[in-house]
Amino acid sequence: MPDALRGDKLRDADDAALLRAHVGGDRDAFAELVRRHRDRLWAVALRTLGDREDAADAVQDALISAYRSAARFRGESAVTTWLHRIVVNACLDRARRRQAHPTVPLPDVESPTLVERSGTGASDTTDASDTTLVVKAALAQLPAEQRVALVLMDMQGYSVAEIAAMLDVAEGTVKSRCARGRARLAVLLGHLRGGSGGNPAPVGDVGSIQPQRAEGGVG
Amino acid sequence: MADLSSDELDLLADYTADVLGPAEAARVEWLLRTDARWAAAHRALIGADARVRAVLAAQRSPGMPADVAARVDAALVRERRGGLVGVPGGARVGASRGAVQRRRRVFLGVAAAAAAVAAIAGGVSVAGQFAHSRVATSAQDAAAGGRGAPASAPSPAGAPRTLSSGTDYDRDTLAALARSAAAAPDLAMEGSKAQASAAPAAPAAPTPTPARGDQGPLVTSEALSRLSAPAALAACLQAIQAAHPGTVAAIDFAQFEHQPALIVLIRQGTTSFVVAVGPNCGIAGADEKAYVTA
Repeated sequence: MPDALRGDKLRDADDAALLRAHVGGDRDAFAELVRRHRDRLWAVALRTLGDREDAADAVQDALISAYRSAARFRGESAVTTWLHRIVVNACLDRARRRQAHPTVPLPDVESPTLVERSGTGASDTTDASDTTLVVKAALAQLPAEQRVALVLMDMQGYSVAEIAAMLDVAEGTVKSRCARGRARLAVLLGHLRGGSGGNPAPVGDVGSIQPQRAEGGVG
Repeated sequence: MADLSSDELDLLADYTADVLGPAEAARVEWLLRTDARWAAAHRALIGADARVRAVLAAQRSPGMPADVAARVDAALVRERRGGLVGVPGGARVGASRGAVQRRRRVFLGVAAAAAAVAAIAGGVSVAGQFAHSRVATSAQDAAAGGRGAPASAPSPAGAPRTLSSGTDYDRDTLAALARSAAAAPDLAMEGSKAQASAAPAAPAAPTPTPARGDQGPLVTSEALSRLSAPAALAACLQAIQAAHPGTVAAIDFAQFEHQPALIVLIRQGTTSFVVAVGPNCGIAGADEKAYVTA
């Protein structure tokens, strides 16, 4: 059994070394690995499931699963990719077991779009909260696979190749899910008037899109 | 202006993402050249796509809240100490809400899994241990089935040892089971003797064990409850033996890689192997999930 990593060595060890140490019996290595990545894993879970308790359950179950299955990690991908894959699978399992219902009503088509609401007299905090709620509600309307692809790409900043590895799908599938998801979000968020579900709706021409305001005030 | 359906919007989105095959891409290009509504929708979609990306990227990334971090840390500490998540009485401390709601899931850690391997392969009775540690079966199940807490049923001489450990096996633990069984006394012939001789080493079951003849084995997963009926279990074991001839030495109502599974230890001459089957075993085949040899 290799010497346990201690103190600075623990913090300086890369992810693969930590995982090896954990498999070798180091009592603190896995906790260090979790500490490094938990914020991003939490963000993926929360944004995918849209519910705090569901996200907490999913992350806990996923990390326990990772703890137990660490010996089977063969290094074909980065450790963070492997962790994300386990968390994403846990989230998708939960999402598929229940229907995602929006907790905040979507804005109707006639209400101001998010772009229009930026730059109003409202406070930045209020605008940011409103936007977050509307975005969350809109994301909840997407199929789980599209939602998680957009969370990983547009919100977490992972590349197409990284996401394909996490989801174990082809890169073209990732691109398709993201493109389709953005198109649906554009309709839901009022950036685009188009079809949703099985009901055709008018797709406006360029002239019917509301004038773009400064995006910096939205988020 | 005519409408663009959701399917057409998906097609257009795939076109903008450059993931269409040549024939489909050519069709969309023809539509963009010849149909004004498609051309307008394409222009609108490109702009909207960029705006949606910006809106999503602008969302502040939430850090893991302190209480969630503490809960995860506590769960990992419990896992490190043996993974036995549960207290007598069925309450699961710090358990995920979903697992509490799905009371038939039991996650036993490495130590408990090793105990299950020892029990199923080595004839050690762990009825008492699992009676106290098992939190899967809800009080409602116990009341409905009239079943007590013990997770193993007595094995008449020659009959396979039966457990309901709820252990979450994986391929490694199945292999360990097969190897242990290869070195253990022949359970099919001496199951009852082994149980009797091992009794002093294990705590007594707190409630009477139900007779297998009328109630069948106690199971920890609702998904496996069909196999608790003797006829269904017999059909399942027949299906397994049709594919893997041998003598069934022990069965465990448990899990395989987080899914409800019946774990079946089979002896074939001097060798042993383990088969994990799903809840549909015996209906149309064995519903085999894994086959691991010693």
